[in-house]
Amino acid sequence: MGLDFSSFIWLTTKVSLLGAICALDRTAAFQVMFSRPLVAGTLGGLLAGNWEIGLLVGVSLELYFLSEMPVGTNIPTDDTLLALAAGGTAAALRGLPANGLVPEKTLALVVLLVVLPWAGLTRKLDSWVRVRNSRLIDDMETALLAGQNCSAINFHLYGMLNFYGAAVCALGLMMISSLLLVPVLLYCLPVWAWPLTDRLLLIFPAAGIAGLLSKMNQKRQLAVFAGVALLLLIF
Amino acid sequence: MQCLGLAYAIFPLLEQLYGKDSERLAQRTRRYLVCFNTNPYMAAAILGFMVHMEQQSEEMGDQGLALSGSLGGLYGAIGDAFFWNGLKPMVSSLAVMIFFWHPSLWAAVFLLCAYNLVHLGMRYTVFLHGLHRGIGVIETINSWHLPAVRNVMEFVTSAALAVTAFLLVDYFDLRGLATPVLPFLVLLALIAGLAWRRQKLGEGQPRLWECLPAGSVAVVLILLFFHI
Repeated sequence: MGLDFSSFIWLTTKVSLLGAICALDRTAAFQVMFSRPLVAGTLGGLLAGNWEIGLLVGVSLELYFLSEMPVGTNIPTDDTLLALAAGGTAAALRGLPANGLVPEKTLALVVLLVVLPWAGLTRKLDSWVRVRNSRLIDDMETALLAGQNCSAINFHLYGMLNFYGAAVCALGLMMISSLLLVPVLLYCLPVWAWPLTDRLLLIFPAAGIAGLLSKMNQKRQLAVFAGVALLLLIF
Repeated sequence: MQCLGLAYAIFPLLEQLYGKDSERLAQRTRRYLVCFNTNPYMAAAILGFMVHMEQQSEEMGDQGLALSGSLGGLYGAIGDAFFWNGLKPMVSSLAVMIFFWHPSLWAAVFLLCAYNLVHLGMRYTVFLHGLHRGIGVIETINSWHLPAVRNVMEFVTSAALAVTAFLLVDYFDLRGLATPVLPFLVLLALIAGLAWRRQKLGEGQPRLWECLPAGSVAVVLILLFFHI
């Protein structure tokens, strides 16, 4: 059910090195929403050869962490890295004939359950890179005092490299662990449980909706949600 | 940390103005390494304003820097509320709704186009207004009534979330032989339960160990009573 060694190394390297560029969009550069799980998951899937399952993984994660806002000093979970790793793993395993019978949604669920425990690591890594980057201000000031104006200004780009390096390491780690663990879990999962696991994927969008609703501080917003739900029930 | 980006962005202008005097260039660049924190999208307005001031004279540049702290705080609050609490949830909810209605790449295309059309348009406009009108950029941003627009976006988000919840019933084949009404009600109960728990704990982030058992119970209930 697993990948052979060369494919394992190739896919992990490809998703880590190229996916980390997409992860830069989150804070370090661009910020044009390539870092949203919906897009990142699709990209991770595309890099591993199946964008459809990457899109499914991405859309499942899209709302899940949306209630965590990067406001003030809060550093939210890096859902970009999680989506890239999950999309890449799901697509890589989907391509294997041994997994051909496993339903797409079950595979997506198992991959997400394996990748999501890394959420804490992504937050810590992000925080570590920010602390490391804050030291660059002193380095830049020292370089400016030494009269190295042009090289000093490039410290800004070193900050981006730190983000990139951290993203490559995190993605590599998540890909290796999930590519090893998911085939074992799929093997252990009995066929009779597939109808349940296939539908259980809905907990991610449902929990995302719940998270967003809990953050709504206006009663009118909740009234709109309830009103639309009621209309849908009636018609 | 944003001060590194600010210094990097304004360096070409400083090089143009003080390039011949290396010491002065270093001194002016160091002036921009002050603490600077704002919403990354609204930083364009402040950057435009700073370029406007620096172009006039060194003293005006210093005044611009002095004002940048308060402007950063103000635009940080406005930008965070508008972009992170308004635009992003709205576009994401609509994109997810589109996916569950018609699973295809259009959801990702919509997300990228809708968000970037608004945010790049705003970034470009506020930068140009800051550059040409200086402190007048405040009037431009005020005239957009961003808090009111944000309220509307929040209503759209709520409606999109309700429709998404409804579409989940069909996408995950929960309807079976029954009408979608009963599985939808179970799903709404699950969402309401999770939301209530989040609100009680004062956290927005859902916990997997809470969602998984609750979701399993809901799905088993739906399968047992409405599907088989």
